[in-house]
Amino acid sequence: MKNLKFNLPVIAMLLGLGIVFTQSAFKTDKKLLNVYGYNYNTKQWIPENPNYKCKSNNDLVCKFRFEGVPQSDETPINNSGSPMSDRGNYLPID
Amino acid sequence: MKRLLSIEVICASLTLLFAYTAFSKLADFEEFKRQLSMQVFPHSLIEILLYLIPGIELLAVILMMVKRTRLLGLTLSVALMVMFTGYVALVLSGYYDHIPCSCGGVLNSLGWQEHLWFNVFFLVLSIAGLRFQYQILSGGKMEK
Repeated sequence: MKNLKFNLPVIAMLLGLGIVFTQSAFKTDKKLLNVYGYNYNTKQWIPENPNYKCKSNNDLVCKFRFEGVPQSDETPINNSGSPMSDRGNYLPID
Repeated sequence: MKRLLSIEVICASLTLLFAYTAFSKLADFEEFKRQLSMQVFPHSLIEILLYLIPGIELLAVILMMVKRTRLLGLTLSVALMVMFTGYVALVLSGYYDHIPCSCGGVLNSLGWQEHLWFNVFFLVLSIAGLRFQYQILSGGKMEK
C-alpha cells in the first residue's frame, strides 16, 4: 500500500462507464414515465412517482397512461390518455 | 499514508458516482431531457441544465482523476452535492407547489427520502475528502 501506483479514480471512471453500457438494472421501465396521476385537490397532472399513491376512492380513476405529456386543460373526464385500473385521489405519501 | 489511501478511495467513490450519472444521462439524452422536464424548473432553465449538469459532473470526474487538481475536483463535488441535496430537501419540505417525479436521480427507482440520505452520504464523503486533501497539500499542518 506504501506505493500506491495505480490511480483508483481512473479505474472508478472506467467502471462507471462500463456499468452504464453493460447493465440496465437501475433503469426504470420507461412505460412508467408515460403514466400520470391526477390530483383532484390541486387539479394537477403529476408524473408517476413511487412516492405517490391513490387514496382509496372507488368512484375516481386517478392514473392515466399518456402518449406524451398531458395538456393543462385535460381532465380525468376529458383527456388523451388511457385510464388505468387505479382508483382514488392521487396524493403524496411520506 | 492512511490519509493518502483515504483520499484515493473517496475520490474513486465520487468519480464512480459522477461518471455513472453523467454517462447514463448522455447515453440516453432524450430520457434525461424528459426526466428534467418533470422537475419544477422553468423551461428556459431546463435547456441550460440539460448540458450544464452532465458537463459539470464530467468536469468533476476529470479534476478528481488528476492528482494535481483533486482539491478543485473535491470542491466542485461538495458544491454539486450541496445543490443536489438542497433541491431534494426543498422538495421534501414542501417548498414547491407539488412533489415532482423522483425518476431523474442517480437511481431512478429511489424515492425522494432515499435520495436525500444517498446525497447526504456523498456530501459528507465529499467534505471529508476535501478536508483530507487540504491537509495533505498543507503538509498535515492543519489542526483537526
